[in-house]
Amino acid sequence: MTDRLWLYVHFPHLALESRFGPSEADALPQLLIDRGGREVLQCNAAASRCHVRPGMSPSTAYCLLEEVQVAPIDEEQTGQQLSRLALSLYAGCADIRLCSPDGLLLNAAPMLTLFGGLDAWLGRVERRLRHLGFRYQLALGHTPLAARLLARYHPRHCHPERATIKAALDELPLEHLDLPERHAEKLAAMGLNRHQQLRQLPLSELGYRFGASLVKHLQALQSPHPLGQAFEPPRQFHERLELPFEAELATSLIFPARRLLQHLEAYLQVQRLTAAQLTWRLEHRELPETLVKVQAVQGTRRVEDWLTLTSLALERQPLPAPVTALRLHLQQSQPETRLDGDLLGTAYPEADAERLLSLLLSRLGADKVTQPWAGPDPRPWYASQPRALTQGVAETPVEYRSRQHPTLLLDTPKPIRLGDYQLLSGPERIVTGQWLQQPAFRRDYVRAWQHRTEQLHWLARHDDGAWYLEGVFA
Amino acid sequence: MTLLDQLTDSGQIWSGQNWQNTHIEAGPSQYAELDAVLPGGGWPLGAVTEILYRHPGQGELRLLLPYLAQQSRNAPGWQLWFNPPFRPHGPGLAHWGLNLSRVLVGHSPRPDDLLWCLDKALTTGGSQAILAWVSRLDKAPMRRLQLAAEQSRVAVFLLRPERYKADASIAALRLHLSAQSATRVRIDVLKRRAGWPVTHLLLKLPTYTLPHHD
Repeated sequence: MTDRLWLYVHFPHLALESRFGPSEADALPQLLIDRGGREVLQCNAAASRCHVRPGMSPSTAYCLLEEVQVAPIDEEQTGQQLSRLALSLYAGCADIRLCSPDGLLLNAAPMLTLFGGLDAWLGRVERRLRHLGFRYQLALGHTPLAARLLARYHPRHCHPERATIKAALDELPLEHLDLPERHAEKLAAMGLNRHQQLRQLPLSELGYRFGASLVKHLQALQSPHPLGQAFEPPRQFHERLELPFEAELATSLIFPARRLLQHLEAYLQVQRLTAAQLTWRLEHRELPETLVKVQAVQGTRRVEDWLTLTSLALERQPLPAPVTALRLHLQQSQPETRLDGDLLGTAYPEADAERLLSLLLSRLGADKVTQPWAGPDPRPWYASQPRALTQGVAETPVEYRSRQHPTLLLDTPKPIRLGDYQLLSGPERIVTGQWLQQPAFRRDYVRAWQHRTEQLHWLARHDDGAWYLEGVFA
Repeated sequence: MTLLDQLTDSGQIWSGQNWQNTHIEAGPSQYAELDAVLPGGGWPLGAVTEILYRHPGQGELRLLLPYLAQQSRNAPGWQLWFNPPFRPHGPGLAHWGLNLSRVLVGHSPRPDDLLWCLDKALTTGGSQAILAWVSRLDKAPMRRLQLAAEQSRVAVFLLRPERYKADASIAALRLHLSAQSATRVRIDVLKRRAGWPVTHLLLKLPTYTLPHHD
């Protein structure tokens, strides 16, 4: 096994796919054109089938296509997508270099012992790539440049032996060596076609005739000097997705939301985190953005979990205007906890309960799900202020102040006619000092039977002498 | 074994002679006189129980609280209360022995939301008992609810106004409750599995808690 080995992944349609999303079998023809609108730079398979080729003028392409999606190239977006792809592969390789605009260089050699050999590691990387859905070509090389040239022009060359790599390089035509164009033409005029022929010429002679740049390029094929810039996973997750259409319905946001959540999942996986709270910002053309918070009781990073919760939250949210872009911000995260210790499966009922709570909170809203409470305040209404669940469930058992009180309490006392009632017990006087409220709280509570409607009520005589209905023994 | 035996064993059908032998899963209501007439000796699990009453404050909750309190202390998952007519009063409920930290109170003004929540509560396996104050409930959602309940081992209680007494219902158990005095209620079993309706069951209903429970 060689000690130097590089894997280069080339994404031939990255600019196109980062604009329209990974290509699907039934997609419309898609064209990526340059900023001036003079040339088709990339097109998808559907467009190729209609004989559109890169380099055509857009107007020629329009003549060939009935329906078409067109977008100008966006280098920034392509760059962001390349970083995301690097992030997705980061779990399988710690040394990744970004080779703008459309390639990733992975230092394979240190990973092989960790992942149990080349085949296992390559299989892992490829599974990940297929899952991402972007078109890719990859090849191994003993130097970064060799890997890159093979990935581009001799894809799927995955033999780690130096000799076979060199043999494959020898086969490459000269125009595939990424030489400066003027050199390539001159060399072709000299009757040189393949790398092998070029390699057999003395370097000093080539240098004399073509200058140092060609010599450097040829030497780079043999040198371990890395390409591009090193990739570092971002510290914060904050992503934005421009929608290709204006979404008027919340349900049409689900598909783009899934894409952002997939990026989030990759991010969390690399950082070994789970997300507890996300914020969506929905951008509109003119109105200020709409904020949607989504919370899970137990942290999770699964796309499906977050998608369910997000779609519930979106259903509740009326859209004030069509949405032009989505932003996803990771609000709260926590280190992942492993369930490996759960041999008896006892943690799973809890997981079910947490999932249920997350679902209820998302569907009804955080203010609509509460827990009853029995606090120490002597005034009944204050003692039973319901607890919100937004801060999570109290972990430690709490001691409740149980009292001989009714089961239900009215929010506001209701004036009654004492004549309808037969008093059964009491009075129980509840008095607080003036420090608690002004004027002081002083009420006499009695249990009473409303004989007309046959209800057991809790009445209170307030300080003003009037009687009120305050609670119900349901 | 014949199909008839299988169905009899699983409690799907029962014969008039041996209905007491039919096995029905139930959790004791802890009111002895009531348990005696309830099939399986208590509130049916994995089924919907309807309790019909005229006004809040007739003992509709006190009837359920011994069972609910026991569930809240012993079972995993949430106890879900939906749309109570007034605020559940923690100090009073704690006196019944209810573990408040296992209780969730949900407010869903829209019937769609309520049904969705009930369905999720039953299908996720994250609940231990479900209690909902509902008035109108159409046949189709009621049927869905009963089917979802059958998939779980959870008791579902629906507290409903008595004007729905005459409506046909798919619920496994239907009780009509009327208060005789502060601590006495009359219960009519309108419908139960493996048995005929029972009328005029008088039950002593404590105000604060069951006598044997502090």
